[in-house]
Amino acid sequence: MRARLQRSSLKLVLAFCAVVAALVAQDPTSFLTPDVLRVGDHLACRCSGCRNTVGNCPMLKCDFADPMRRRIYQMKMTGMSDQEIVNTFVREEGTVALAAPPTNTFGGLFTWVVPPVVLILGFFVYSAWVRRNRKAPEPISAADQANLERFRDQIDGELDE
Amino acid sequence: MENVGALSILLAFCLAVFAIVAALVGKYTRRPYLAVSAERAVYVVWGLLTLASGILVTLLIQGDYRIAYVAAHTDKAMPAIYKFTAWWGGQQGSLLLWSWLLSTYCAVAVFTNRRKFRDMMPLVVAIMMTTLAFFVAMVAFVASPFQVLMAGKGIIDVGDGNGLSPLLQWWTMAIHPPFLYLGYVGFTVPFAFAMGSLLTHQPGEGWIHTTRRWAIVTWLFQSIGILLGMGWAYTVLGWGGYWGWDPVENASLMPWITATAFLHSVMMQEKKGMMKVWNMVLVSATFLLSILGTTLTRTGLVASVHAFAQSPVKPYFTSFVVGATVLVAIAVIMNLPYLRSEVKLESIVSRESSFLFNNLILLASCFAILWGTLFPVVMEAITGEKETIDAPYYNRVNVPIALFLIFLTGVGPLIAWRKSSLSSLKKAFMLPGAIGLAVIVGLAIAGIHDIAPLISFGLCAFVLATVTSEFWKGSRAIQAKEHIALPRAAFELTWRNTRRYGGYLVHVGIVIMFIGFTGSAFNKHETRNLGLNESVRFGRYDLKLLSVNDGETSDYRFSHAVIELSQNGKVIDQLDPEVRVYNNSQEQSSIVGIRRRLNEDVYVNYSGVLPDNSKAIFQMYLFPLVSCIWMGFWVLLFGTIVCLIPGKVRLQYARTEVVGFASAPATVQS
Repeated sequence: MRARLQRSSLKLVLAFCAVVAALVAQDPTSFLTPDVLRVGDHLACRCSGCRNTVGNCPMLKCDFADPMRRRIYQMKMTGMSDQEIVNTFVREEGTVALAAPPTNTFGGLFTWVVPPVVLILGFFVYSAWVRRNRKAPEPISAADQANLERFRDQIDGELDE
Repeated sequence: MENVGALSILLAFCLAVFAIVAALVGKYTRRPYLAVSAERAVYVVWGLLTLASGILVTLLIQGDYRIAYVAAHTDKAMPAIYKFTAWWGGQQGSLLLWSWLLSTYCAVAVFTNRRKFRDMMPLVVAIMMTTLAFFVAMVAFVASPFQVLMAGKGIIDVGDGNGLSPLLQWWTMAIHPPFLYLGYVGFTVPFAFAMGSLLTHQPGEGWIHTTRRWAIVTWLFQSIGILLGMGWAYTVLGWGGYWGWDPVENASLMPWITATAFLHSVMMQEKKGMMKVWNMVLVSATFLLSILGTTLTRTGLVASVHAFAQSPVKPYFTSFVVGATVLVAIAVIMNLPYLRSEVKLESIVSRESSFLFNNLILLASCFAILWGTLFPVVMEAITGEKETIDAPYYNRVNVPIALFLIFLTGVGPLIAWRKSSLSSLKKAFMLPGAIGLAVIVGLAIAGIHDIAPLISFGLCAFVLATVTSEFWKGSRAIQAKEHIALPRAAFELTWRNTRRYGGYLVHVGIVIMFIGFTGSAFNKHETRNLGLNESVRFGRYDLKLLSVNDGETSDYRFSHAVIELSQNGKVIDQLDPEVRVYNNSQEQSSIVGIRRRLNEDVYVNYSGVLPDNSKAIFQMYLFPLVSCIWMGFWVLLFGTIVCLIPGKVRLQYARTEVVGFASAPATVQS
């Protein structure tokens, strides 16, 4: 039990030292670890209308993305999972922190659902239009069918030109 | 001089209002001289706006820093060309440019139709001039470019200005806004003709024949404007992106999509007298989305890197868009009987049906973009809750739609007009379908396992095979009949029907661009710090920092890096990325180093140095197939120009349909 406690304390101290070392260093590239970029891809960069995520914002010294990356880096060092980090930002700032609307809120779900629903409605309108504007086929004999095909080719030719 | 400019704008507004009143009174009280007077007023408005624009450009180039607009958007160190482009670098100037372009379009439309559509032209003039009067009113009363700087009651000269953002001092950005405006503004003319035709119940499709070229030309301008913006973003912003789903980018894409749908569906009306309501809706939607786009750009309605700051024009623009939408809806609904189709659809499996289906998908894509752009604003207004909709949303929603559109691009030419039999479909689909499948299987074997790129490449191959087979079949037929070489036969084929084969070339351009977009699935990115003569491995390449030189010009300070690019130990190129800090604005700008090749671009952005100056920071990117986007654009441009060339054979769109049969021969009605 005591040994386990010692090991945990050591881990904590090491994590703390790593965080302090990273924060002291001003090199913005030191925070661009795969972990940070992966988590950052779920979060919106909101520097003056930038439409990138915190993960792929190209400005290394971005006023918004750089501090966020540092915080994500710290949180990762303390052992938080990706989801826990994302949830922390959402708790602090609301769903505006997310790069894409969430599916667990009314507004977010509404955003996702409406375009496909409109597309499906469009299909219905399309089929209704086609049904209403479709000419009923007239029964014709086999001989006339041959004539019809011949003249259809001619009409198609005229329309294509 | 600024007083003459402001007076010109004021007079232009008065004359635009006169033109509206004279056109309407002339039309409805049957006084032709008033209608003619309205048309002449259009020319005078153009003259006055040309004078005002000329004065603003002169003030910008001379550097008259008593004028607020000149002081805000130019400085002494700027090259003359960017002083000229500062005309559209700010809110007030760009509104004046918009007004001038619209007045030019109006004058050309009135002149080219001076002996045609006498019954309809007064309404066309009234509609065009109402739009123009609105924009001129903004320039005259709300956002004047001729305001002087005041201190107390005196005019002051600040000596030097703030300059134009360094990001905008780039040749593509210099011409990107005018091209976009030419596209946005241009759709006012087809819209005005469509509404004029609707309200005067013109017989036939005269407005379509008259405005077809307008529609194609303005669509081309929109395409050029969008592509210039993409090219600028790729070269200047330093991250290799060409599309960020920014609201202002979306605003330019939406009218382009509806215009594309219109250019397809209008053929149905022209050839078969179908889809009249739909075309009216599409041409109106394109016009209204163009105005909405301007509203988004100018009013700060949505947060965007492109938008001008919050400005007093917001309530006027919003009211104009809403008012115009309501009026258009009323006009269409009240005239529905006039828009009834003359011909019925024969089969679901027909070219007509596929056109409508293609329109449906295009509109769905447009709606998804509109929804993503405006929903956060609506949501915040209703619930107070903020939401961010960024690239992940747009990509997830639009990629499947885009893939389906590509599929339809290939399917369209394979389906016959009126009705296709199953056997003819099988025959037509066999080869292109097999080629598409072969590409998918081949790429999967080669190691590409992501499903979206695989499908995309397969569909692109399918469409290219379809178009090639159309050219091949037609050219072979001409070759056999006229005994000429195949390339000449292909030329002859295209010349005989420039609209059809030009359209196919545009499709090829779009497909090539999609190959480029699909390549982005394989992009690579790394950020590395390099000391002098230090090398780093990136993809198949080795990058070595040879030197870093700092310097200064009258306009900016710079740091210039030289990077040697090697592959398999052999030096293949040298990249020269640079970072600049402009003296006046203290804004930073990047000049990236790009090695452009057809298969992939190597792209290096010099981001600065570490705090201890020990190493330089470079963002390195590999962009496979990105060149296809720019190449596809040239094909699209060529195809559109071909569409605009009159065909060798004069086309008569006979409203042909089989109406019955005698024992021999069958009757064909023209």
